[in-house]
Amino acid sequence: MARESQVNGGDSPTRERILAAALDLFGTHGFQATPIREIARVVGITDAAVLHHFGSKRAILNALWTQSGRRQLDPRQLTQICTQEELAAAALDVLDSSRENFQFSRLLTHQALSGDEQASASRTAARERWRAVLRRRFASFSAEDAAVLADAFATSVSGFMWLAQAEHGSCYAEMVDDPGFRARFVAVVLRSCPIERFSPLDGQAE
Amino acid sequence: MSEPLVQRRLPDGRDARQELLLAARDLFASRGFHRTSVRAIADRADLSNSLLYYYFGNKQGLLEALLIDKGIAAETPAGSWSFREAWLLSEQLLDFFYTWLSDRELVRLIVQEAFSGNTTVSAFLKRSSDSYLRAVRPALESIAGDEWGEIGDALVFTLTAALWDGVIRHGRGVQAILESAPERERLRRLVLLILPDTTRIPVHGT
Repeated sequence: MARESQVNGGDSPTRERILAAALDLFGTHGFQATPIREIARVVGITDAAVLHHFGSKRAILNALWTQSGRRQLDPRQLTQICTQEELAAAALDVLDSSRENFQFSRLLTHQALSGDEQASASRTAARERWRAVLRRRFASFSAEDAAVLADAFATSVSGFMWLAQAEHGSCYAEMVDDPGFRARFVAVVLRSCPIERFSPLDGQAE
Repeated sequence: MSEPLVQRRLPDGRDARQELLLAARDLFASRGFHRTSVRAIADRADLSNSLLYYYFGNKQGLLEALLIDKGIAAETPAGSWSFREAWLLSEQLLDFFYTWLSDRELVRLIVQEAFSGNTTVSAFLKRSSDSYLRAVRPALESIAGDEWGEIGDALVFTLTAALWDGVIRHGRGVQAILESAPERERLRRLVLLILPDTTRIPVHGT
């Protein structure tokens, strides 16, 4: 599609607003159940104007995937994790950013589950990127231990967030600010990823 | 309305209620709950709409019946918890997990609907994790005392994430993948990390 090439180029405000509205509607109601008309209504433009920017509903979805692939890593996500305090801080960073990513990950997962291959590929790539970053952050341990810690961290963090999202739905973002909720989250991650049982490579005893 | 409408067994020996449940499970899992019509379920089971209404009232009733049947099955593996070593306990905790996988279409349905914010499904998830916690409590209490709750929490989140991640990544292939030896080892390792340090577990002889 000729329009596809424009997707990576221009960052016009309208284009951004279409993407934001689409993400919100797709995330809440699903891709199939959202007509272009509804996106146009939220943005306050005509259907034709939406199609001028993206060509098709599918092209909007593809642009959302591309956009997420270009997202830069937060520098905080590259610091080493050696202690329980650092582990807790890293987990809370993920929880905080899940507030903004909520609609996106809901959409991505939903599409992947309905057999959308591009969504599956995108999700697999994001999963592998995240796990690779985590392994690097546990680099003060042996490669084998780093892999174990990264797996335990990623699995418990995702499990907590997924079940909370399923339970609280659209109120999830508010839950993230609740101190009790955050404390329980940290307790789960520290319990699932017992970093204190692992010895760092430089041979220092725990 | 309740004329002498149905016998449980159809003339060809099939169980009508069961046939409808299976058809609903498959269609909900592949198309999603909201996009599946009552007619499509009845057609797939090769039965009439009225029979479906007779047994389940409506589509929502069908979903609830599917989950209730599953809920009962999920409680059975709890029984007496006897173990001498943590790995033996981990084995039992995992067996519980694997009984979930035995109905992969239903698992797929649950994961998909949970991500779409289906409240019947999220209530079911809450009930299942509570019943899981009830089942594992005696065993966990005997090794960890008051900390059992935190351990139970961590197990619920980690095992849920492993299952959901498997479903999202492998779709229908999830059962074969998660039952493979390397994956089973991985899950066992995650469970062992959550349990108290093996060396500190008292041995309960009988």
